[in-house]
Amino acid sequence: MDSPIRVAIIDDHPVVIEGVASWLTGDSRIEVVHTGDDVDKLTADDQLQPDVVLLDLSLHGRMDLENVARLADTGQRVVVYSQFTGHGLILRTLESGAREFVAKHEGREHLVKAVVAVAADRPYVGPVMAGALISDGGADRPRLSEQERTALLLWFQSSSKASVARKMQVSPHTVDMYIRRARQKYEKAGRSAYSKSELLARALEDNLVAPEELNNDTP
Amino acid sequence: MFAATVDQAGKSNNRTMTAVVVVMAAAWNVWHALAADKPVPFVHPAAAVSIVLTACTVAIAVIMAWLQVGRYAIRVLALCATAISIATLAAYVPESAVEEIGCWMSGTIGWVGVLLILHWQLNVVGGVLIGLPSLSFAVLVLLQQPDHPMVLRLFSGLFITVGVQVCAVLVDRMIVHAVHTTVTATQSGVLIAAKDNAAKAVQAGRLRRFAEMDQEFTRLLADFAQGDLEPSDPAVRRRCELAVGRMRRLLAEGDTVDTPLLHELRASADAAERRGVVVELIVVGDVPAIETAARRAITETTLVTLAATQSHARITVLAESDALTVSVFADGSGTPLEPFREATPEEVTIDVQEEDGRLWVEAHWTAPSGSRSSMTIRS
Repeated sequence: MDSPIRVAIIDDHPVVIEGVASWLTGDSRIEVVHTGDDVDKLTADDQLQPDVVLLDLSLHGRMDLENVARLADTGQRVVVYSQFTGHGLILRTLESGAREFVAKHEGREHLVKAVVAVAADRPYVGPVMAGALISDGGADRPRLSEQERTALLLWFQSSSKASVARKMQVSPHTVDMYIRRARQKYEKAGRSAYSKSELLARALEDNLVAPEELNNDTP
Repeated sequence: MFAATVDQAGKSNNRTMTAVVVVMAAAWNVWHALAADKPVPFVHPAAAVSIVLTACTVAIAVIMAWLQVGRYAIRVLALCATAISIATLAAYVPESAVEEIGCWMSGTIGWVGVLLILHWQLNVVGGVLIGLPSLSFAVLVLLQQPDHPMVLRLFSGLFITVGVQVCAVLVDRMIVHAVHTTVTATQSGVLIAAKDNAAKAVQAGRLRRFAEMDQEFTRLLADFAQGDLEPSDPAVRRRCELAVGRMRRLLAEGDTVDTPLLHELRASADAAERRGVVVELIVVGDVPAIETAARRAITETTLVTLAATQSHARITVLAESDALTVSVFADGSGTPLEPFREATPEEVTIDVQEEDGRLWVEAHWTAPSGSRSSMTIRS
């Protein structure tokens, strides 16, 4: 991507906004174009059009998944950034339209990777989110392969893809592919978004989905 | 469990008794009607109607009992049969019936009714036992208009019959109450004895482990005092950290909490954090009940790994209904887990990976077959 990734940060704690903005702008690929504590102000500004919205799930003491759905419905790529990491909450966040979930304690590395991946319509699964995906016991959960499930589990346990690769006796690239493929299956099974076709195009490009799978709606 | 079995057996016996009573009542009615002055097939039309209606109702009740339809419906039908008998016979009362009303109430209606409604609510039983004879008495007096001595004789006969029936019901209630009291007392005694034995066993186990910990601390302090141990030696430091972690866990095991495993893991993490190790503890899923021995094996691997951790450890718990995995991923080296593997219960397996200064220890627990609903035993 030639131009910087335009990121909007929505959080109700100035110190968090300052810290996160500092982390993101430390990467030359990212530019913070908006900060605030109100989703309405962001959606009201038609000129802003950020590439990624980094959204705190709890604003002013109120947990509101509706904010995620509202932003997703307007076509925004939403990365939820929260201190609340209950697996049920993470799954509901994804169902509401968030592209990715990053726990606040996961740090700069995962946050930056998630923002860059989402801006390029590519999946990124952090360790906490991996734990939520493998815990999903819902009837409509996608069917993961054994390798995909194992990769998610070990990634959740270690947060080190090199260690996962050693344990699975595959390359780190293959581990990454298993994890992204698992995430892609959740994308297919999840909420419809305007950019779903872009996600699908990227998945095809990255060989995460085979063309013959596109006609199979079964998760 | 015992009380449930007793209740189930009681309900089954009640159903059987109801069916037997209904059949006996039908047989008694038929025999009594046919044993009239006139030989079979002569039966007075009113009695015949009563017999046929009662027989049909009884047959339906028996079929419903056999199909295990609710007792309420059967009882309603039985009462219908009784009401039909009263109404039909009251419409045509044989001359001898007035004198034989006591026998009629005790045989045809009274005792059958008593057996059918024996275990109903006491106020309902009382209403039926007093209400039906009162109704019959009123009908007979109004239709036959007997003389004063006959009314007195009729009333005293009914009073004696109903009095005996009420006494029978009360005696039954007393017996049932006594049985329930005995069963409850026996259950409580067994439960108290079991809890007492379990508490003694737990206390003995805890005292033994406290004694072991006491010996370990005494040895450590004595060795330090004699200069046999060097505090800067990593092996010595690890031994001390393990001892502190185990003592912390032992204290945590005595706490009453919803999920003892998580409580003990937090206690283990706390001991590591006190020496500067950053510990993440992430739990996914609902932790099932795990017996103390298996729980101790799981937390022991965590303790040993944390004692070998230099600066950062990630503990994850992935729980399902019948399986659980506790993983510790940390920077460090040298986990002497072999001695603990030998003492590990068969439902716990331990997997260790050590590479490039990274420790990855996983303890897997699977529920023993047939123990999914077993309770956690705390010590």
